Amino acid sequence: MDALSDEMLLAALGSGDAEAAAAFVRRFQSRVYGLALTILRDTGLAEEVAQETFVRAWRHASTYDPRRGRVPTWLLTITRNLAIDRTRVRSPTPVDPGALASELELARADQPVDVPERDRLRRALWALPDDQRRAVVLATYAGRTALEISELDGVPLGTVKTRIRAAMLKLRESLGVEHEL
Amino acid sequence: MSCERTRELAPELALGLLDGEQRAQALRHLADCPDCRREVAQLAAVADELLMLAPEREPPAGFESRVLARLQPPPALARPRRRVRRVLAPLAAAAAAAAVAFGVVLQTTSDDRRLADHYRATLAAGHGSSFEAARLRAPGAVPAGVVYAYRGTTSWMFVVVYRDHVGVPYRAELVTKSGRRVALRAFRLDRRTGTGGEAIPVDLDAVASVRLIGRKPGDVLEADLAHAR
Repeated sequence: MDALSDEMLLAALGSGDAEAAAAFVRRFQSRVYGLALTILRDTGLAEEVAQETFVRAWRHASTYDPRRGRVPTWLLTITRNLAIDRTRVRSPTPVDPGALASELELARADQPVDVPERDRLRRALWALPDDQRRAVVLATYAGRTALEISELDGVPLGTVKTRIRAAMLKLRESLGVEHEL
Repeated sequence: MSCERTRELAPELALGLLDGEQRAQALRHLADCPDCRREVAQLAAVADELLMLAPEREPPAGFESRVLARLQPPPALARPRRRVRRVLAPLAAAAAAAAVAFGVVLQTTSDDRRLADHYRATLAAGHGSSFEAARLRAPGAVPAGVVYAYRGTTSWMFVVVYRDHVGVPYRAELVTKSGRRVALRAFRLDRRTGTGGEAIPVDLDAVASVRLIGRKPGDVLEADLAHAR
């Protein structure tokens, strides 16, 4: 099971195979829990969201479409959306994006086997002007829209949109290659 | 919506920040504009990668067993299998299951979100032991689709090609590990959806790769099944 590709493991999970389910959870649990904890900063809530992520993945394994992204990113998108829903219930004010960004920076030390592409993206994120990084981190990790960010920071909507756009284009440049899918 | 306006909104669309009418308008434009679609896909890939920057953290002890306790298959999946086994002799059951499996494949329509549901049901119906997926690649290793190979009493494969290859009248052949080529004469891709299935006339374990051959020279899509295992 551990030798199966992510896609095959997900397919096996969808077919109701108990062994595949265990292997799938083991393979992705630290990623899923790590993202949930990054967004929620509460171990209890992060576990709830991480559990729910796997339940959804299991339930929707059959609707996974490899054209729309790889399995880990598909899974993390589920985690992100669930976690953001929780933060919205808890408080209208998102977590401090500065703290969030530091957390992302910390991740580098944790993961010596990080892929070069990811490392480039991390460096590019840190090379962004502070206001651009703040906008893109709030959008990605707190699910805040441009309008919400503009209200939160007291900046015109157009300015926030421009920051998000400039940031995303620079980050794309850092990845350098056209994505496979 | 114009290309220019769509490009302006592309980063927010990729980050999932748009909703309502703006999102609907942008999506309508994307349906007809491959260039803008590519732009949004690239930015969405950036958004995906951003999530991968979050640090990995080991969940609390017992997490795995708590999750697995929640992943119980619905009882409906098991029931029909037992009934079929009781009613029919094993050989006839296998043949019937293969027929069911095949019918499901051939009826598959354009809605590829439902597609996987079909083969999951098929696995249950056909007592399948496993199935495998391998990426189809065009020359230059460009992703061109996916081959799903199903191992059962009758093994078969199901093919999905991506948009750029939809409508091409590909013929299919298997290449065995000993280098033998086996043409799949009945194989057809649906011209509209780019999907199609066909029984595999040799032992699945002996198959090294699947090749789809187009009309134009060099238009060959290949999936490496040997290394997908």
